[in-house]
Amino acid sequence: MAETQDKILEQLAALRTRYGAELPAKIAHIRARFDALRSLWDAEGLRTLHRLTHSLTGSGATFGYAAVSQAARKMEQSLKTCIDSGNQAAPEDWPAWERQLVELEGASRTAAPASTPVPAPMLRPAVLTEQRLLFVVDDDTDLAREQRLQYELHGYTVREFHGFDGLEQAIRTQSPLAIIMDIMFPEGDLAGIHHIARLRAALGALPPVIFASQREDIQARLESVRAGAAAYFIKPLDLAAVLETIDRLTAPRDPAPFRILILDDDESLAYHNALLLQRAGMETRVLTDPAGILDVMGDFQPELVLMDLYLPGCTGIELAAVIRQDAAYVGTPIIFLSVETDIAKHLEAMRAGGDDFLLKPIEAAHLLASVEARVRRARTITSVMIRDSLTGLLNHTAIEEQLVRELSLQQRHASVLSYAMIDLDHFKQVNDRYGHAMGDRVLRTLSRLLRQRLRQTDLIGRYGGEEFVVVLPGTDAPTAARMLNELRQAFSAIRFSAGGKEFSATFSAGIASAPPHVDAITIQNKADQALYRAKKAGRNQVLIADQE
Amino acid sequence: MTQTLSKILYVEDEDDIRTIAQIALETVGGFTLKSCNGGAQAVNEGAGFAPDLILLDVMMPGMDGPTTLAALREQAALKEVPVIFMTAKVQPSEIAHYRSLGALDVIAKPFDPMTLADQVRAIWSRAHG
Repeated sequence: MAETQDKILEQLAALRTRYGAELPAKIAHIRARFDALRSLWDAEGLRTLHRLTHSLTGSGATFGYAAVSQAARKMEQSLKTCIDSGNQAAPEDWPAWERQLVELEGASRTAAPASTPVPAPMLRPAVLTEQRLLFVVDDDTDLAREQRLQYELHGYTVREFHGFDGLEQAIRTQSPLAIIMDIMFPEGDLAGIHHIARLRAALGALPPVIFASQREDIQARLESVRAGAAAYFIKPLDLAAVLETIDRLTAPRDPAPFRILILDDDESLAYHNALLLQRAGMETRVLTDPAGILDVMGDFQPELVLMDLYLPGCTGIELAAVIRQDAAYVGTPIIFLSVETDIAKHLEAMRAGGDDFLLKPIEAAHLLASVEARVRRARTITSVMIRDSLTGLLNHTAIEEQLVRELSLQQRHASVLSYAMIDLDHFKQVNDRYGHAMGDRVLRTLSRLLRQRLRQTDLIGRYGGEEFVVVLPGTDAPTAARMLNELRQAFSAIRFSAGGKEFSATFSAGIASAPPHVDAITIQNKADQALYRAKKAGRNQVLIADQE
Repeated sequence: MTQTLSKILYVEDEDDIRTIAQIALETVGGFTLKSCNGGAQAVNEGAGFAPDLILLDVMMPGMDGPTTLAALREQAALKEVPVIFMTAKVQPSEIAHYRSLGALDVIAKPFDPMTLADQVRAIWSRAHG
């Protein structure tokens, strides 16, 4: 052990010696860059100079040259200030920089490496471990404490505020997952709401705010909505209910992350935007060469495309038109990013199928809001769309609504209705053996067969995956079984060919009818059970619920 | 927590810092280290190493730390791996910024080679304790 320790110290000493030997050349390099910049200003040169001093700042003390780190840091910081200002050096900058450089040169000459490691003067970073942080703002200290204790029991970290002091700064330092805010304060009967509105204006965005108040009147509620309230609770607080709301508000809102494709030939900008979106929980894919667009669209299935207006080899407008040529992507939102301020160009981009136009440089909050709003809306639209995009049949939600509607008609007219669930047999094998494109063709073939053979009044839907449902009004179970058996035989006779090989596919079905069943859920469950039995019995057959 | 820290993916462009960190983390710390000289190498070789933790220098020419992080996060194998940034600038606002990018913590440069491994371990156990 002691031997290892010695060996380590020996290695470190060797590294220090080498660093010390290279130090004069590094300082000379900085001096040369500095003199060059003074005789001919160039922004790139300034950045290089900054990088060199930054590098010394970060390395000196590690190798025992603490004074080098300190001197380099001073120079690094004033160079950075100049870079951030975007201006050329002011006349008074030069003598200051010269002084700092001389100090750095001195430090490198005089600082002998310590024989033992010198801990660098470090600013200890704050503990940044992920915590589930909540802010409770209430001038009633007892109630604030009671809330804190409750929330802490549920794994939250809670900070109490008994007034507005320090709240804004605290949010800036570390934004909580939610703010639970009282409304009546010594400052006024709506002070809590008004303060939230001010914070929102100052900070641009706020985490979800839950108001908690004795006030039950509509004015307070309206004002809270105007201030962007996520929830409103009346005191005395039902803390269990508040906690439920906090859990809901702070949980990831959507189970599947948004998938965003970023197309920009400026790689670092593309990745910068990608990181922002990833931090908001989205999945991203960056593409710098537009030639790969169709592959990525198919592969990644983005829910939104963020693209630069000017790309190598083509324009974003042309590319949007290419994307829109594929029916599958007609609904995919496209947002253009550009420095273009020409309104005519914006309109052209919109005509090509762009959904929005954002000007670079774009603020993080603005980008996030635009992307999030569009994907959310696109998801909503998809979920309420009546047709399944692959087969053109009714989708899950639509067919369920139709079932309920048909059932009420059936009951009013005292007629009959049958409901069948259809599931392709061994469909996974089709996909695995012949590919997804072939699988899609099998699904489309079945949907076409159902449409051709069933009656105008029958309703056909795709439940998702390889599962279909049909609603057959005015049809009792035995008749439905006969119809489905005909379909089953017709379908199994269809030959598919893939890569020179032929195969066929079969399906199983389960049927439930009204009467005897009354409500949609029972009918669906019964049909599902019958389908399950058909699968168990060897597949490629149609069974009626509750019949052996 | 049962999760132990053994493999660290380390990305730093400066040769001498990389060398001394290697001693600090491998010899002193006992970790298994994969050092990369920049974001590109990390993107190409990082996933194959299957690290428990990623240690990223912030200021690097070409792909800087945040850019590298974004690119690494696109790979399924590195999507969830915790990240610690290393930087010579440790203003509170910057720490908040890096944290907003998903970092567990920030380690200040210059670091002390004898205690770097302890620092990494402390951050790790805070996050997993």
